[in-house]
Amino acid sequence: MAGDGPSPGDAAAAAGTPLPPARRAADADPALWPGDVPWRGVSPRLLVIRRIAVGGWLLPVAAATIAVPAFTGITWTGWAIGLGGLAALAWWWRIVTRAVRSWGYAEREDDLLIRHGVLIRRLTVVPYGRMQFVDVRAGPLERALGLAAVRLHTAAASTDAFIPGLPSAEAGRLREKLAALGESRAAGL
Amino acid sequence: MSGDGLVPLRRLHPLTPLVRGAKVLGALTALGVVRSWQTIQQVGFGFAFAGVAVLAVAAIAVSWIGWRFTGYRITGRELQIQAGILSRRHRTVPLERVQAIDVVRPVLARLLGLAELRLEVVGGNDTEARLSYLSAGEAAGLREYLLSLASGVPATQLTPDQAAPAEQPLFRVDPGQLVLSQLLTPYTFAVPFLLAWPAVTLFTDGISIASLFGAGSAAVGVAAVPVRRLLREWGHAVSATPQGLRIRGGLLEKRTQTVTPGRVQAIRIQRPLLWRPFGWVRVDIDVAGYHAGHRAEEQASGALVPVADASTADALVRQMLPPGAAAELDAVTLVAVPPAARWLAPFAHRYLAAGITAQLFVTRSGWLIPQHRIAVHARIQSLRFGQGPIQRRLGLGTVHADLAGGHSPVIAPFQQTRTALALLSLLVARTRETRRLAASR
Repeated sequence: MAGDGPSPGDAAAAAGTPLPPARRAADADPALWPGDVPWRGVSPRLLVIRRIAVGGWLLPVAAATIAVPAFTGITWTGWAIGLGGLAALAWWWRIVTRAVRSWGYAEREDDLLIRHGVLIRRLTVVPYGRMQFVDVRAGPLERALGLAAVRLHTAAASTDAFIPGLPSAEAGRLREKLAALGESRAAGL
Repeated sequence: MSGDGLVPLRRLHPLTPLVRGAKVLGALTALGVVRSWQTIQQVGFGFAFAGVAVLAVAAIAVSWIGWRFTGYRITGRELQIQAGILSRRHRTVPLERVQAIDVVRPVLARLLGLAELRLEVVGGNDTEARLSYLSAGEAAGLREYLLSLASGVPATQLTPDQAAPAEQPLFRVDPGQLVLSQLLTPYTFAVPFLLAWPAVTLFTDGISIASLFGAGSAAVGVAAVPVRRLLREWGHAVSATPQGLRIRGGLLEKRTQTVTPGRVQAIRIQRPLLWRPFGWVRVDIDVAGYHAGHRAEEQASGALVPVADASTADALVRQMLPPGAAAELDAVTLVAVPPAARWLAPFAHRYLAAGITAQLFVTRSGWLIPQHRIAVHARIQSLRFGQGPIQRRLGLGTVHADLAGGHSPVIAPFQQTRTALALLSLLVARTRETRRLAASR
């Protein structure tokens, strides 16, 4: 869909934003993720999409918090549950911020590394030679923000290599690069 | 059926419509009888028979038209299959990518001397190419021909009706052992209880047809699992041919699988609790193209050894490994998980372990059914590290090695974070090494 192939000149322009400095030591734990590779972060605009998802819940939860005690007999429990819901949303808001920052990918000589996760932390290593095909996708909201998601497929169904929220030029560059590397290093099964 | 290629299309066996039609008819009749037994009684048996006869003719006629429009040919290193009446399907299967070729002979086809040929190619979600039905001889000849082509022998040196090369038998399941092994399953043990239930209710509620019927059908359903396995794995035999491993088996439906060399992705060795007094094991192999959990029979098609003594199975497992890797199997040191893992795996933590050698990644898991899984570095597709909140609190991490096809990734759970990360980077380095070696060859 999106990620129209960039002309070679775009590649330098889309060199990717360096990962913003992590607020918490745990997010960039050098003991956990390889620190000697050039990690790149995803676009901060991904945060807009994630926050819209949280905000979508905010309105109904807030309305219910006010409406239930006002129109029914359930007052104290209603308030408690409603405030609990709002607190959960506030916590979620904080988490998505950190979750977006936690996304990172690094193109090494032989493989692509993808890391992400705040609660569940993951690191995926996909050798270029194992790639079968690359998907670039962008939903309407992502397109409006100029973002796209890249997914790598190997012959294994369980491979989980996904990078959301890339600027579409960068997604296109990554796709071209991965496709070229995948072809030159293709390994038999 | 236009002759648009150099090689003319070949037809499937002329008896195909009969078998296909009979299959459809059998399913329809069974459905009809179950659903409307009363209706049949009302309209009379003669009328019902006439209806079935009309259906039979219609089913065979439809199958016959389908057969007229189906054909296959081999051009260069490709198998082309054309099918479909209204919407034409034209499928091309590159033979280099064939992982396994199966010849399957269901009961009805066996009676008529027919066989089905199935080609498994990696990446698809189902069997990619089916030729049903061919005569048994043609199927076997075509299999040899396709396997020779797939292994890179020039087509000019081959004739489409190859004679099967000499086979070296490696293993044959012992019938008594197979029967006993299936009796020693939880399913079999559940049957007496299910049958005893109506007897218990007899004293409390008096006899009730509903409870008898319910318990009876439950018992049949539970007993069907070992019975089906028995039917499938009866006469299971493994032999080595120049084209790969040949696995045969089946009592009613006979199947012959051929797994091309080096296509075994991983091996699983299980020691079920009830078999332990005898020291028996079961060995499954993961082959790309066979999809786990897709259908029961395809999942089971991975059995290498349905049941055998540990030493017999061990010898066979060593034969499946790449050259030099068998010796590594003895030298591998499995790292057990730290005591903290007991919070996440209260029973199994004592069995959880993982180890790595130059060519192999070995894990141990299971509590009631302890199992070893062996993955070959050269076949690992991608690697993952994962750590949930509880694992992080406990200082643990999990490593996954993703494989093409087969049961599931090979997983080393709940290792110390430091160990898990070391394992991951070692796996990355070793898999890269094997890929480079393969590329330079």
